Parts: sequence; C-alpha cells; structure tokens
Amino acid sequence: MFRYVLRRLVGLVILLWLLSTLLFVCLRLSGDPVKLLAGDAQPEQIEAIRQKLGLADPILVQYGRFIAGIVPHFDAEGQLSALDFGNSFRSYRPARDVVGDRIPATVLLGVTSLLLATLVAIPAGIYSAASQNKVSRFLVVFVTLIGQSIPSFWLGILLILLFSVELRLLPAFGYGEAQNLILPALTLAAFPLARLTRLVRSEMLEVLGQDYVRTARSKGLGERAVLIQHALRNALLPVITVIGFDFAFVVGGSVIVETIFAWPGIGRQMVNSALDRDYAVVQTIVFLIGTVVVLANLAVDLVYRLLDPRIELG
Amino acid sequence: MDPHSWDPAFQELWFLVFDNLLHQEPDGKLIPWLATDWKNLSPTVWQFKLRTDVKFHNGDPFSADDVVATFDRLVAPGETIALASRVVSVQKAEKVDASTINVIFKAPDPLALMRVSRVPILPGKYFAQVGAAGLATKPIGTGLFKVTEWTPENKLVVVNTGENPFRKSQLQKITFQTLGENAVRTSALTTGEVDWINRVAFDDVDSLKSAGNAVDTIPAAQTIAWDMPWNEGPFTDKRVRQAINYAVNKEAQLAVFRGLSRVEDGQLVQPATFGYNPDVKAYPYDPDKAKSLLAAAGYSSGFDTIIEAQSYEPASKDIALLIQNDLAKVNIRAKIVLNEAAVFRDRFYNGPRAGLFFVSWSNNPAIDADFALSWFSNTKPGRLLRYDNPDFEKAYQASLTELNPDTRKKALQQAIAVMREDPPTVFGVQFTQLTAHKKTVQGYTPRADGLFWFDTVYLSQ
Repeated sequence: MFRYVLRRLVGLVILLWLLSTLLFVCLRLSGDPVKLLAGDAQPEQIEAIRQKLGLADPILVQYGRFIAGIVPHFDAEGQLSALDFGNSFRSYRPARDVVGDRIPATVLLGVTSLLLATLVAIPAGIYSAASQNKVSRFLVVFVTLIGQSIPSFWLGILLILLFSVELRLLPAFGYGEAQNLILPALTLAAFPLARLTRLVRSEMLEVLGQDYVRTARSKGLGERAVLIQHALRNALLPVITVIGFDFAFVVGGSVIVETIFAWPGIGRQMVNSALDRDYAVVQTIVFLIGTVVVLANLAVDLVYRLLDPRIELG
Repeated sequence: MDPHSWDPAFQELWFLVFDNLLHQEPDGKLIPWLATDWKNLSPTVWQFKLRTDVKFHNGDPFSADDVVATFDRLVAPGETIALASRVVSVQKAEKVDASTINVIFKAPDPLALMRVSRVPILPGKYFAQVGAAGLATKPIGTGLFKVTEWTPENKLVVVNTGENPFRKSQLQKITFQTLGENAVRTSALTTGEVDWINRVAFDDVDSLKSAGNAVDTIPAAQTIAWDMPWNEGPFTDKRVRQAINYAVNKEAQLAVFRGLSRVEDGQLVQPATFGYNPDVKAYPYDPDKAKSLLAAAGYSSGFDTIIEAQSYEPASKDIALLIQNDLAKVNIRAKIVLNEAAVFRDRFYNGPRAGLFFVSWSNNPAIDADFALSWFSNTKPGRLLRYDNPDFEKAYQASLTELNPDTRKKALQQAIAVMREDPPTVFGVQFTQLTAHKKTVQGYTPRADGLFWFDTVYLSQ
C-alpha cells in the first residue's frame, strides 16, 4: 500500500512536470502579453517592458527560471519557497497570492456542489431502482436526463429568472452569505447529480438481480438491509470512480458558474487571466487544478481498496 | 486598481478614487481640480499652481512632490504602465515650490493640457513605500471616494470621504460588482439588487423599460470602422477601397443598435469632436457605383477576402455579417473570422491583414480628432501598419505642432478630407453602448468620454 502510494506520487510529479512544460509552451505560442500591456507604446518602451518581465531572455532561460521557481528552493530573502510562478503581469503581485485569495471561494462552491450531488444522487438512484411506483421511477429518470443535458450557463440563468426575478427568493449573485451559495451550487451540481443518480440506479438494478441478493432476501432479511448492506456496497464501487471524475468536472464547470454568479473564485480568474495572457496566473491555476485532479483520482483508488478488500493495489 | 494601467475591469471608475490636476468635462472644457491655475511659461513649459487643502486617503497632505513622483513614474524608461504611452511628449515635471510645479514638454504640444488632464495623481510617499503592487492592491488617492473593499475583477466598494474640497456627492457609499452575463445584469436590476448597470444588451431595452427602469444611450466618442489592407492585393487600388465604402449599407447597420446610433459622416470623429470636418459626408449606399469602380479597377468578377471581427463584441459580429452580405452583392466573397481580445490586439498593432478588420476608434479621452487620426500616421509608434498618403501625413504632421487652435483645426479637417477620398478604412457607424438604472437613481448623465460619472447622482425615494 505504502509503496503503491509512493509510486503514484512519483507519477504525479512526472505528470505535473509534463503539464507545466506543455503549459509553458502553449501559453507562449498563444500571444504576446507585452503588446497587451503596452498597447501603443514606443518600440524602445516595448523592449524595456520585455526586459523587465524577463520575456527578452532566450526561451530555455525562461523555462529554466520557470521550473526553478516551481520546485522547492530558497528565494532571494533566504525563505523556503515553492510553486513560485512569478508575478502577475496585470496586478504585479505574486501569482501564488493572486490565486491563493481565490481558492476559498472555489473550494466552498466545489465541495458544496459535490456533496449536494452525492447526497441526493445515492438515495435517488436507490429509490428509482427499487421503487415499485412506475410514475416516480419515470420522474427520476426524466429529471436526471434533463439535468445531464442542460448546459450550466443556461441552467444558471433559468434558475436566476425563476428564484430571483420571479419568486424573489434568492439573490441573483453575490458572495459571503449562505443564501448566495444556493443557486451556484445547484447549477454546478446539476450535471454530476444527474449522472450519479443514473449510475447508482443502473448499478443497483444490476446488483439487485444477482444471486446473493436473492439469497439475502430468502434468508428473510428486510428490504432495507438487503438494499443498503448487500446491494449498495457493491453498487458503490463504480460510483466512487465517477465521483472522482465529477471532482474534475466541478473544477472545470466552476469557470462558467463563477462567471454567471459573480463568484470570486479561481475559475473566473483563470478565464480573465488567459484572455490577458497573464502567464503566471494561468500557470498557477492550471498547475493547481492538475494537482487536485490527480490527487482526487489517487484518493478514489485508495477508497476503492477500503470498500473492497479484494482489490489489489499495485 | 492602478489608475495608470488600463485594467479592463473598473477602468471607467478610477476617477472616483483619484484626482487629476485638471479635469476635462465631456464638452472638452478644462476645469481646475488639484491645480487651481495654470499658465504657459514658454512653448514647452506649463506651470501649475496647486491646492494646499487636499489630503490623500491615508492622511498624507497633497503637494508638488506627489505630482513630481507621478510624472517621474510615467516618464521613467521602461515603465510598463499603459498611460505612459499617452504622455510621451512630456519630458518631466519639476517642483518650483510646495504648491507650484512646471511640466516640461519635449516640444511644443497643442494637446499639452489635455494630456496633463488625463494623469491621475498618485500619493508620492505611499507609492515609494508600497510600489505598483501595493498601490494596485490598496489604492489611495485624493478622490472623492476612498476604497474600503477591492477584489480585483469582482467587487469594489468606495465610501465618500466628504473631505474633497472641490468635488461633492450625495452618495455615501457605492458598491460595484462585476456581473459577466447580460441576463444576470438585467435580472439584478429587475430584482432591485443593483441600482445601475452598464453594457445593457440591446435586446433587453424594452423589457427593462417596461419594468420601470431608465435606459441611457452613451453618446460615445467612438466610431466603428473597418481597416483595409491598403497596401495588399486588390486593396492597393484606391478605387477598390472606395467601392467597398459604397457597397456597404451603413443605415442597415443601425439595426444592430436598435436605431440608437448614427451613421458617421465619412470620418472617424463626431460633430462634437475638435477637428470634425462638417464638409465631409458619408459614402452613400450605392452598389452600382461600387460595381463600376470595381470594374474600372479590373475586379468586375470580384475577389475573395476575409472580415475580421471581435468574438467578444456582439456588435462587431453582427455588423460583420451585414457587410459580408453587402459585399456579396458586388461579387466580393468574404469569410468572417472572429478574434478574441489578445489576438485582436496583436493583429491590430502588428498585422498582417488579409481583409477588413474591425476597429472601434476612440476619440477619448481628449474629444479631439488627433487620437483617431494618429493611428494612420507614419510616425505613430507601436503600429506596424502604415497609411502611406503624403497629403494626409502633411496635414496631420502640421496639426501636431500647431499651437493656434484655428489653424490646427483646419489641419485636422484637411487630414480628414484626404482620408475620405483615399479611404484606408470602411467608415461605419457610431459605437453605442447602453446603461440602465432604476428610476430612483437621479442625476446620472452618460458621458461621451465613457467615464461612469457618479458625482452628480442622488437617490430619490
């Protein structure tokens, strides 16, 4: 187990190196930040800006500086530092700080959405698989189909029109109070919620047809015990994998949802910074997201093992 | 928020927090702000008397040192700040005494005062301590409002200090919130969560009005025109460029703005702009004339070209479609290409150009023809594209050093007349934007210079 985790972590480092290198190259192919910053400046002024931002150096020197900033090192003041992607061209502050300010908002939104999706999807999936009521089973399938098909930018606006404009129940935007969280979290949760519900439902249907479930029932166990203790535990394995994927989805989906609801998180920051060619900030955010997604997948694998001891890691 | 940078968010709002030496009113008039008086000591030296009763938000008194520090920053070699490029004619600012400074120009500059009027004054001592990053994170000025909360690209809260001796407002606190979606801005105004919104979608005008809100048209000093590659392929021939101007139906483009705009008079400036030429008229819509000009130039069967528009500016895309249709009628087959912001700017400055290219020419902030015309001059730094027309260049260059306003105006008008006849661009319509507000918001007047002016606003019950 320990060796497995260690090996995965080494893999993580290599993956992040590849990711950041790819990012470094792609961003530099995508446009010139100096032109964006300086506009109609004099040629000598443009050259001076290039010098000041370190963009005049040969590309390999820039790359070396880029990698040296990411790995743990001692900075000019003798402090231990890492993940230093340089200063934001736009705000002059270290990109790490610019992004750091935004993390709590995105974590709050992402975790709430994922919890909401999971906590609703599992009972809804079980219910629609086990229920004898055709109408309510159909309803669950129908609603999840819609939830999975509606693009989040449209859903977000519809929710605002319904809950803010028509019913006047919830604010259309904002950050800081619990009621501000409801609409963005619902919007972001819609897709993973629908996908998870459908998955739990189909896994349960499959498991419920298995011999051991029939055995459990014939032993005289109550329906509740059969569903929860026997069927669900086996049905959950693929569900855990998909929750891992959904984690990545929620991080990606936050870009749109944060823009709609004026949520001050990293998703929105990333779009703005990419449009500004603010290299340092984009690099920091993509690096962060990459790390989180890879770690989430590692966590999924470990949870797998906890749920099903038959699975060998390695 | 660094008032010397062009931060895309809140760039219309810096004046709430910062003051300039002089302020230019939308009609072009200069009024005293931090400077009480100014005079010309020599053709290249302007002297300003400064107020002595002004304090920065951190308590530091305002003095000549702050003005010197501000200009020192802008003229420093290698300064990355956008505003620096707008004061390139300034050599330096010199302190005479605590309340007097001289601003020295490299050469006589007819726009000297307007340039000075665009420079927000920084707190010299504070700026030296915290640098650009500190100023951007915690902006401190002498302005009417001080910043109490600032999340870049998201939220700005300002509070009236009540201590500004020359600006007053009844508003005690203003919160600005970035709302990136049209529908969300409209919803927020409808629900009353906000009192005022900008960038109103033209489709929303009716519903906003029927919900009891006021919608304002900003009379922007901004013209939509389409650059042509005047030294490339068919466009080398002046008749082809004229033909395209005849082929394009400008009146039809007004529909994009629901009629809340106007066709520009064959020039890049508006009647209120200094240098506007009243004798120059728009190219009439005349496809037959366009065809005969194309035939004379040897392109009776047309040619293939592209139209580049901005992906993030809806009006640009809509007008591109109309132009594509107009050009098809004279056998010019155009493909539309959409550029996002960074690509647009790169192509604007560096080219290359293969066809028509959307530009929204601004005569801001000076409401003077110089700014839009300067981009076509061979001496304009930064832009690689050149409009090599000796007559234009001669007239424009004369305007650059002419200190007599009447003679200068004539030179600008002459340059405009040359541009109309040898068009480097497809002249279009005035760029229009809308703001909307609740009826309880009183005293709000949209300005041609695009600033969101709240000094005069008050709330009624």
